[in-house]
Amino acid sequence: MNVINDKDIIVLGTGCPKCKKLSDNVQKVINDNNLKQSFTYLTDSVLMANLGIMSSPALIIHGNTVSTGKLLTSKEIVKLFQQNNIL
Amino acid sequence: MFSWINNCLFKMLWLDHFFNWFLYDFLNLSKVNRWINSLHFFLFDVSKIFILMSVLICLMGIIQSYLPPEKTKTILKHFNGIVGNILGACLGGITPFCSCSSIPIFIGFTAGGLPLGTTFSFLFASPMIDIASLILLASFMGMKISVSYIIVGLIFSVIAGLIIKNLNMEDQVADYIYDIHPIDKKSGHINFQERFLSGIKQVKEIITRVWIYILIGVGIGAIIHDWIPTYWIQNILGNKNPLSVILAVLIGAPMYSDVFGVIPIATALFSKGVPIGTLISFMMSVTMLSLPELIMLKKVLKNKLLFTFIFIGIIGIILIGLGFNFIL
Repeated sequence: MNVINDKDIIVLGTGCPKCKKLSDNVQKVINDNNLKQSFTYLTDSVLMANLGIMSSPALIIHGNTVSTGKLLTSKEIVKLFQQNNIL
Repeated sequence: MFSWINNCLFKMLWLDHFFNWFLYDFLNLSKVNRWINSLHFFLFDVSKIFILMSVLICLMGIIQSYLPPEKTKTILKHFNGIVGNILGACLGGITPFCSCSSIPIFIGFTAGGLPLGTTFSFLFASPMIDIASLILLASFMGMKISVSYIIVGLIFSVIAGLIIKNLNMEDQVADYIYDIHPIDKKSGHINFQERFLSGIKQVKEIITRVWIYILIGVGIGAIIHDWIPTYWIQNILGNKNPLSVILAVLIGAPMYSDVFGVIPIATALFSKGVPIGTLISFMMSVTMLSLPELIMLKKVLKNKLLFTFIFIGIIGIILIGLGFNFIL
């Protein structure tokens, strides 16, 4: 499971619209705050299952799953970033 | 006392009286004009749906925050046999359903060691039974239909899960799933305020997603209610036509709609005398057999099991409809 440590911020989903929207929201927060951390959006059900994640989308920061099954707003994403030393 | 609750909370007679007053007394519009009657139906239905939805979704959101899939899996792991199927169906009924979650849930349950039958009882029940929308159904069509739908839906999900269990189709699950060894993820602790806020958020999310379907559904319902003659509907879907149940399922199966959008249509058809069995079949086929969910499941099931799933669904729904029409 090294892939989750390859990037600082990962949105992990199944490819549904909700997952894509979360990815867009995260990208927006990164752009608005000029963040330097690496970010990627993965659609990998096997990876999700291996991580024990059963609701999509999931947000992973520095290899830790911080949110599952929620379409987070920009405000919520910022709060999670602050709690995980991104912001 | 019960009839007060029924009239006030479910039928919302006070809302009906308000629109009667607003249209016929305040605006002094004609009581016999079809357009006005349709408008009354439309305004009343839409308001009723949005009020009920907001309250119920919020409540369900709070309850569901106590039952994330990880916890559901942990609970179900402890039960084998028919008890597992029953619990799987019940938990499926309470848990919200999103077709995008079918894959992670299926993989999580199966790779986590849950019997296939239990997982399928959950998968059958989850899209079909949504407590908030079914309380809504009670407000439009009475408790009898709503409770019947829930009970029959649960029994069907248990039996269907048992059938799949006894078909021993574990080899029909995509091979890669058995190579997965999920870690047991514990859900974090959340306080009640966070649960309440997640309920409110769920209300906003769902209403944003389905408001257009509600308007369309109620619009169609208003047209059926006031514009399409009763005998038209009765001839096609009424008791006289023995194929009405099969027709209802064939019409409903390819439709992809939220349960909320279908309820107004079902209500209008109900008011035109379409038998309850036919209506229940229609609603179940719309919700249970959805193309997005089937596309997702194709990634985790081999064709034989996928078709078995669809086949059991269709036959089961038809039998339920015929059964209801025969008994009632």
